Amino acid sequence: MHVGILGGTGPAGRGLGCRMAAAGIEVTIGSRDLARAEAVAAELVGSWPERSLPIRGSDNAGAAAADIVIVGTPWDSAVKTVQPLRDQLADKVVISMASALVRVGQQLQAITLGRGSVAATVQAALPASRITAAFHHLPAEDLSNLDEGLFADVLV
Amino acid sequence: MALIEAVEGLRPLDAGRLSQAQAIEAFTAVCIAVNIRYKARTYVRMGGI
Repeated sequence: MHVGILGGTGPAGRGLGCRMAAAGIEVTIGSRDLARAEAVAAELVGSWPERSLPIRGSDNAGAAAADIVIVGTPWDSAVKTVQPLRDQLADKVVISMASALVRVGQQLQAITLGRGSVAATVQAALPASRITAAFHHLPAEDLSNLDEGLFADVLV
Repeated sequence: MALIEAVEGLRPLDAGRLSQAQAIEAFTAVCIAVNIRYKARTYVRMGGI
């Protein structure tokens, strides 16, 4: 299995990429900036040299070539990121993991988007893809630390 | 689901159709508020299943 993570250089993308690669899944971290994606992939592989993690960096189009594609960008750039990849992502499973949150004072609050959720907004942008929503409630720092045990449910 | 099952320590739970994403996404705000309040890095476990 090959998983691509669009905008995968952030904490959530890195963490998930690490965990999936540790499970033997081939992972492509995508970014608008190819050099940054390659640097992040090299950093993750270098962090766990004994594991030989199957992670590589690419632009977002390269990550979109994977069998399953995760949208790892902040919620407000999800649509902008997937739109140019619409044809490439047709008929694929695309996983939306972002939550629409805004800072109100000291707190982050959920806001309701016109279509209800980030996932539904991404589905509208990619009508020929199969959108699913997952990975919202995982602690990114713990994901990246492969020595840290993980016992979490993922609501899909 | 198979992708999530492949990752050690993650259990996928089917919460229904894509319309449920609204509630799932909104709950992230609750997780973050709890994380800040208790200086913790929480995750979700559902009992009874």
